Amino acid sequence: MQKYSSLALLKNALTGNANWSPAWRSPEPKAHYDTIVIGGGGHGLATAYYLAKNHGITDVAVLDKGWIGGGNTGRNTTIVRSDYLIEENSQFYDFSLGLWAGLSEELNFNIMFSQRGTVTLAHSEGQLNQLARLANAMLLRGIEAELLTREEVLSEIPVLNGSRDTRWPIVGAFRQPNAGTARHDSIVWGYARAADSLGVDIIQGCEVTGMKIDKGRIRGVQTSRGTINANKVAMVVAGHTSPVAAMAGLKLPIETHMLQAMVSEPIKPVLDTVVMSMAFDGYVSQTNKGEILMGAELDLYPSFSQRGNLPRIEEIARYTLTLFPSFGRLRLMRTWAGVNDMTMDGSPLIGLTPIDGLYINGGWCYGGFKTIPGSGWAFADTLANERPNELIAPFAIDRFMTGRTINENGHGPMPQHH
Amino acid sequence: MQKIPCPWCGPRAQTEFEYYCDASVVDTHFDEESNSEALERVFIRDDYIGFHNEIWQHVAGCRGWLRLERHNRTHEIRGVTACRSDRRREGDPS
Repeated sequence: MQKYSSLALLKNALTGNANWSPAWRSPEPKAHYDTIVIGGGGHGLATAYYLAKNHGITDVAVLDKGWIGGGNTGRNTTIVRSDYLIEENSQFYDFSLGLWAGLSEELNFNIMFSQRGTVTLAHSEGQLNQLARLANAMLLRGIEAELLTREEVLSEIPVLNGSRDTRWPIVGAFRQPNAGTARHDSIVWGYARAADSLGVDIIQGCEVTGMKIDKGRIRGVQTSRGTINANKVAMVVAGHTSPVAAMAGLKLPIETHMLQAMVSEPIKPVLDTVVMSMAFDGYVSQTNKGEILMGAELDLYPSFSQRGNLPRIEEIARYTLTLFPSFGRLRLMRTWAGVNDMTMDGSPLIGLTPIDGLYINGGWCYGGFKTIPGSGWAFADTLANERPNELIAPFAIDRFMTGRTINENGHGPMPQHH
Repeated sequence: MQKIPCPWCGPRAQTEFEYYCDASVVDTHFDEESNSEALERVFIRDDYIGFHNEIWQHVAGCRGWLRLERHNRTHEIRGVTACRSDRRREGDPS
């Protein structure tokens, strides 16, 4: 791997930038691998990287039907946080947040992780009590959390609507100071480059069309570029988990929905944290390029369409302008929809399947981006040792049949409401 | 934006309606199922890309319940019928 550094920049600048090597190879698929990872998104590439780095398993192929960074990794809101109430979620998401903090150095790739904090606004005393309960639960587990008064919120985020005579007056807020954002493309590019340098084959434009299963054991996959055999296969295709799992005959507790988000035209720095609210589900933040990023909200009905949808865009604009009236003059630049494999309890499906050698990592609902490093780390350990890593053991797919669901919002099996 | 043909009100904007659940969740004889069948009905979905039967409600209109046959990628609506609990009791799944 060609190391990226100031010296390398200087050296290559002097030679007209003609001598940079590609960040990863584009090998032809071999006939057999020890492990195949289906899906070259953040989770798939992180899995391959940690398989090679932590477990020395380098005979690995990552197959993607499109290109690296072209799926859900490029269709999200790039927020990284770990403010969860349920113990299992809390531990896992915070472990992941810890990994994010060291990734730029580890991968020798600037993932632009910016720990600018998240601020969740309360609009009533009841909501503030709820947030105090969350903050206390986090503090008891050693996760940073704090409460802000109305005055502190308005002095730190002056662009917020501070009027008491508004639909959502600000009563106070909860802050996770070490949460933040990262650059979505960098995380996949960084993991792809690092995994490739350890010997992992990254094969783009290779769509899996079927599974080779013999006597209850996976033997390989059929792809648009021929059959590839493997000892183990990992489905890491969040968004399209149901159709890929169906190739192995698995039906899952998943219903697929669309999540809508959008950015405005870029403006000068005005918002240096991520704002959430107890009144809606989305985020408002400012990207490094200066765009105001708004969303995301589910369409609330099943869909695989990956298209923008005006009713939700209007809704997101409405709540953003209620909190930030001065954004009313901005023009929208881009909207997108991410595919969310919504599970019946709002928590991911990760671990073993009833088919030997076939593993699943999906059902990330709309919480996949923040968990990329933690999921890859724990899932690689699961694959290497053929048993669930303790961090992800609670997210096994059979939890619905045993009654041990992990339902952060308590909405029951109504996936559109998680 | 989808235009949904309400059996009572005619074609109306999607924003007047609310999706409730996949029709498979309610298409059953509740008294006759085992525990594992019930768990499967509540939690497991046949989440393929294609036409699905879905239960929707015209919440901001007549508040009637309807059953849509809708494609989950193109959003094409191929059929709509009114939900009738009396018919289901007689063994008619519509």
